[in-house]
Amino acid sequence: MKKCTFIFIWFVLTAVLLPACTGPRSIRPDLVNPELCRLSFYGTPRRYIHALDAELPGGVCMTVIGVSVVDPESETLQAAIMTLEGLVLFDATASSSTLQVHRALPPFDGDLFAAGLMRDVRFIFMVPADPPKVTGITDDGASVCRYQDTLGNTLDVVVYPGNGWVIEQYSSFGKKLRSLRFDTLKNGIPSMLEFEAFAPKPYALHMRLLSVEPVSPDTIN
Amino acid sequence: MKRTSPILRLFFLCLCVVLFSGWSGSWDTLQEESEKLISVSARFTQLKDTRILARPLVSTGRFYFKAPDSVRWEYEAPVQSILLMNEGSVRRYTQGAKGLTEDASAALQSMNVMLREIVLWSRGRFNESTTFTAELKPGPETVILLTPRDKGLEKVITSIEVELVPDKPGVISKVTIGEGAGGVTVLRFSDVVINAPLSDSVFRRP
Repeated sequence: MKKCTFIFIWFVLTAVLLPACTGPRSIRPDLVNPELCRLSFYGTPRRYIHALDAELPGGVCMTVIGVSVVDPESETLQAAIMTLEGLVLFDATASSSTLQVHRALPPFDGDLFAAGLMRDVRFIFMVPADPPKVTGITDDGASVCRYQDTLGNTLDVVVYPGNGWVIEQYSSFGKKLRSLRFDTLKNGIPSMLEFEAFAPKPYALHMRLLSVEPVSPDTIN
Repeated sequence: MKRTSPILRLFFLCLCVVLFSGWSGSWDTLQEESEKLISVSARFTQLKDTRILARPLVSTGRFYFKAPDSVRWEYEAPVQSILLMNEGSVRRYTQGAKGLTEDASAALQSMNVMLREIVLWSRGRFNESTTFTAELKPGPETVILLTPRDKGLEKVITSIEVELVPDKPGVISKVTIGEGAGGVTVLRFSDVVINAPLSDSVFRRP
């Protein structure tokens, strides 16, 4: 009986945990030009303004305006969230080692919110400067550049032959943390981004580009 | 999400209060003229400036009010969105990836609470507001300065300045909402029509 119970628990745990920890997609190692994974929109300091349709935990949906100023070279970024009426709900600046919150109103004033949001913005607008650790091809013919950070997280940039991009981040345990999808580029920049965060609290953003412009790196403060 | 409601509620309160009031430059006539206001329709241009923007973000739309308590606050660009207040309920519809969908956030549900105060103010009873103090600024233009009574609200909105069209009682030309740290929202109104018939369908679900 005890053995049966153990097997049952093992089976249930496996069934529950496996889908969450399937890990990065399997690839066949192959030579992929890393430049293929480094889209032009990752290279230049820019200011992006997006309409964000947010699907938040609990099925709550809201539409806000997101402004992101990104300098990939210095790895600094500034992000602001405002209502359609113009009320700034959140405004912060982050470098690779610092975070300065200029304004945070409820519900964006939680202790961990700022760090989490800036991490997500960094994920959306920056790819690692270092060359990929591995490159390869998936079964469905997509090219993959696989990066790994010092924490053991894996970042896959997946480029499909038909101009579709998927960027996925996995923890060192193989749990999917974030994903980003886009398929059409206008002047080298995605006009629509589909972002999803899976942990600690799942949420999704449909990001529609309203405007983009180059900026001088010293404008980020 | 429930924590969103007071902030958005007060922000909408700020936007609506200045539009609902018929103000001709004297406190004594405020209430009298407000009672005459049956409907308002106008175009608006919203310019949002804040430290992260190089130039103001421009939004445009239309505003409708029908006494006693119906409001349609509609953005046409850059994001299509309609806020409706009618018969005690508040709903918002936004054009997003899934078409025109209703915003189900708790913030909007709680805006029902706000209606009572808007209705109070639409009757010109500014002096009875527990949220803002109102002051008539001296000068050739008719300008009203609203200041939050509550220090907590002051962190969100530092001031609201309402500019009226000269010699046209009740017609607002410009509203400036200050947020501190250089953040400012300017609403300019045009094509303002007062007391023209407005169909009830304007305030129904699109």
